Amino acid sequence: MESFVWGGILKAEVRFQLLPRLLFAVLLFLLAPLLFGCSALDAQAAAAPLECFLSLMGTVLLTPLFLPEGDEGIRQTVEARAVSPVRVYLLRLALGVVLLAALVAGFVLLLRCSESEAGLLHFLAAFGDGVFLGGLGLFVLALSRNIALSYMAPLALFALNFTLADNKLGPFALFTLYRGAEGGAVLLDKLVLIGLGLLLTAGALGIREVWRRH
Amino acid sequence: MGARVITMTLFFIELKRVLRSITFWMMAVLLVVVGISQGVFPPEEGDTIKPPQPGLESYGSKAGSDPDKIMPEALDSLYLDFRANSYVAYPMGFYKNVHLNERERERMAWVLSELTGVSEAELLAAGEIEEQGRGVTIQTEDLERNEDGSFVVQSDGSPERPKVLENVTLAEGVSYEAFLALMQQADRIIGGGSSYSGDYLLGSFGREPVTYEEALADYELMLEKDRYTGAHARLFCDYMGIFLAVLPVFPAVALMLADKRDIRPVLYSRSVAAWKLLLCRWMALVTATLLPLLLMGGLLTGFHCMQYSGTGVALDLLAYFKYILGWLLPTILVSSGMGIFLTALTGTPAAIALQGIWWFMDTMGNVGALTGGYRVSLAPRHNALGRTQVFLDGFGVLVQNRVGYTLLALALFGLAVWVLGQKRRGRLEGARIAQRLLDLGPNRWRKH
Amino acid sequence: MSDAIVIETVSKSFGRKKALQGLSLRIPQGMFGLLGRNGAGKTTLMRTIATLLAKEEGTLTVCGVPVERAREVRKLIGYLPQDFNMYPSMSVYDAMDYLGVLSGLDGLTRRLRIPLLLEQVNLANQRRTKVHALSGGMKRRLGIAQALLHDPKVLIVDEPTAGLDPEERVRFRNLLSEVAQDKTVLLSTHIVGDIEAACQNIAILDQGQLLYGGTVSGLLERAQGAVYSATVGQGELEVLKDRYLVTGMLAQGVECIVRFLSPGHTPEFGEPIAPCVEDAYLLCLHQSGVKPRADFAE
Repeated sequence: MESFVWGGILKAEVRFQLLPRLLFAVLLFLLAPLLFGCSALDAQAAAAPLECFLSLMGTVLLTPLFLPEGDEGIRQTVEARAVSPVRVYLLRLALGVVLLAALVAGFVLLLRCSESEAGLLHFLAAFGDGVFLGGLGLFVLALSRNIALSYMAPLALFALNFTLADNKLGPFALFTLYRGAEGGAVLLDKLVLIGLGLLLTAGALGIREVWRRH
Repeated sequence: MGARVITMTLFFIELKRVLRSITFWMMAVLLVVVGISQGVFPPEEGDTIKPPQPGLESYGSKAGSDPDKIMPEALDSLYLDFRANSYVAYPMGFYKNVHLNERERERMAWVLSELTGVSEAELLAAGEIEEQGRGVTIQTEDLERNEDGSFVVQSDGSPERPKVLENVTLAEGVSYEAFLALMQQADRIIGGGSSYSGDYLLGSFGREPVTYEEALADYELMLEKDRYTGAHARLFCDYMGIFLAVLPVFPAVALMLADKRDIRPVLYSRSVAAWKLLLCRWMALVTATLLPLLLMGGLLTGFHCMQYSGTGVALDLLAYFKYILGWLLPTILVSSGMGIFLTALTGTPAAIALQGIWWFMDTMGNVGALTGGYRVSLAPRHNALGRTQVFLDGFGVLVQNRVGYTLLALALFGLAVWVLGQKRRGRLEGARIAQRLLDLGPNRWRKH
Repeated sequence: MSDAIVIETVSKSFGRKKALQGLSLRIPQGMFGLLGRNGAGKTTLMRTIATLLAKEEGTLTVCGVPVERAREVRKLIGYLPQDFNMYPSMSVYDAMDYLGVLSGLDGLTRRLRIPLLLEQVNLANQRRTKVHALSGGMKRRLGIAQALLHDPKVLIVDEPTAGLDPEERVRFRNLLSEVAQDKTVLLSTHIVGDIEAACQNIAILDQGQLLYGGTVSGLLERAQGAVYSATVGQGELEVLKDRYLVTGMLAQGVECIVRFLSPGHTPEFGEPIAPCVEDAYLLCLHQSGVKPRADFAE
């Protein structure tokens, strides 16, 4: 696809679709230091704002991927164009993932600048959780076409993580770094979550494509 | 009479719509999952209330009331933390290990100086020591449970007072009130959430063992007031309340978002009053949310009848229903009311975000008061089977809390009615307000 | 016959855009057409009458009741919006029943009226069909049925035939004409054929102002002697288009039969013909200084 097409789509995304989601993600980013503090936190304490709060940015940035085409009239108009809607979704997804990574990295940097013990593992922890939660919401949206339900699934899992021990949650344990798991185990957990998140996202795109053609 | 029948008809139509919605069923399933995963539906094997057996090594412990025990223990802990410059706190329910900066250390030195009579300079000059490993992590699955549900943890050696504390004693003339005020100040320097503030201090230091007689008295009080089911119902409400502070917002948002742009004029041009339409929807949402809870309550009541059949005690068969309506209903009213109001106002799922943030702050803020944490919480906590006296002591506060939240829910409903009334007259287009607020570039909604 | 709707110097703005500007109009019983281009203010006027928008100035009464008394007015009117829709998962009968409840109709009344209305709009066989499965024409018929459900005195119908096939359009117009026998039907459209077929009285709006209010015959009279027809070649066609407002063209080989307006003076070529409503409408716009839109045929 010509670069001007990609550029045009990206520009339209940034100008017209991104702002509300980005604003809310930034709100979470700004709330985190107020709720948790960010100065002189040890590694375990530094994991709290990331895993147990900022991972929700994944739901905010990634779950509403199909929302702009929620109106049937818009969907049909857009999907009748030469550029495949899947490419648009992938671009939108990439934008969301990049923003998620940037905000999480920004917070890790903020922690480090505030003399807290936060590093790559902390980044992966929040990023992995975010990608998974966003992918889960997106998958539910593709299946149900119900926006309330699509937010309910990741938020319910997030809430269950507060009340259940990690061993009861299996691969869906989101707070492993905060709860003191070993670095290697955390790395593996988060890579699994990223993989699951991408799988769910691919599934969502697939379901959407099947639905579109039939 | 006719108007009442029509209102009831509208209520049942809205109830049918809610009961047919997948969002509601997802919420209902989640509530059941929560009940099962938290071990309250049905109760776990060990959660059977039994009379304490005489001659046991321990009957648990309770918050102390003897200042002569509380003050030295708390002081020792604070001094050790000061020397290690490492304070464990849970300001938002999350663990935090606080290290004070120079200025904060000086402030803490002042507090200790007031408590011990040792000069600040001397305290600061004493230097830092290595953190004393006092924190212990125990997995409860590895321990054996006593009959009353408590655990016994024993250490290998006899507890010795660390050498560093040899010269640390409470200064003469420090009253208990002054001591508490100074500890509160220490907590503020740490940033809140430490063991040195308010109720946490009493719960952390100077704890006393519960005697057999006290355990028996607790048990008999529970029998008299709770008749078994009341205690179980409280624990049930404790866990359910956490999720009911947020889950009902989802079906509320889904129901209100169903009024899409092309459907609204058809509804708004009808003669039905806005308050009637919204009231029927709200009550339908609340009724639907109560259904799985009441069903679980009914099943659990039956379960307890079998569980305690040999005791000869007449169970309170209505306990679950009373607790669900008195304890959980206001929470449901608020979270569903918020969903209706904010969706009516903005035409977006913004209610999910705001209720989610509120839920997070409420749940995390309550971590330090898991039992008897009624205060201003949207989901009051009572994370213990029994502790009837704590419940009775806090009952007045709990009632105020529940009435307060019911009034808040009614206020949200009133606001929603006003918003809908305005929108029916073409005013207060929430989406337009949101658009104007968010539109920092070319206005995509402006007609060309 | 008293006027069902009385509008006096009503104004309504959306930000800087003046959607209605000091509009005064009296709408009697029967079928009344509201004609105008897109953006003329027709929908704004209809929504204001239906109490869905608040006017800023002027007075507006429906059967003598001021629109400020919204609840009373809503009992008197039935509204079919331009983009009518209902909850997709409801069946036709359920949707009617729900809307009947919202109109305060008791169970017996609903049970009696709903089947009759569905019969009248030819949806009796679709009573169990879900709304999302209805065709455009069926949905529009459901729309008219729900608007009539509580037997309103005034029916407000916003562009009801847009998007319908010719057969559906005729059926719809006939239905509305039947209804107008004992009610006031306010029909807005930009399809002149709808007006021609069904309305005795019309109003023409443009940019929120009234250009014409009166009978259809009165509008046609104004256009008498101003409409001509000529058969011209390609070269002459361009000249003609430059000088006159062309209202119709029919190509016939190398020549073209052109219908055009020439108010106030006899053109060099062409014969005068009887005006149709479309001619009269365009003449009205033209005489009011409204610039015609670009000729899309070019």
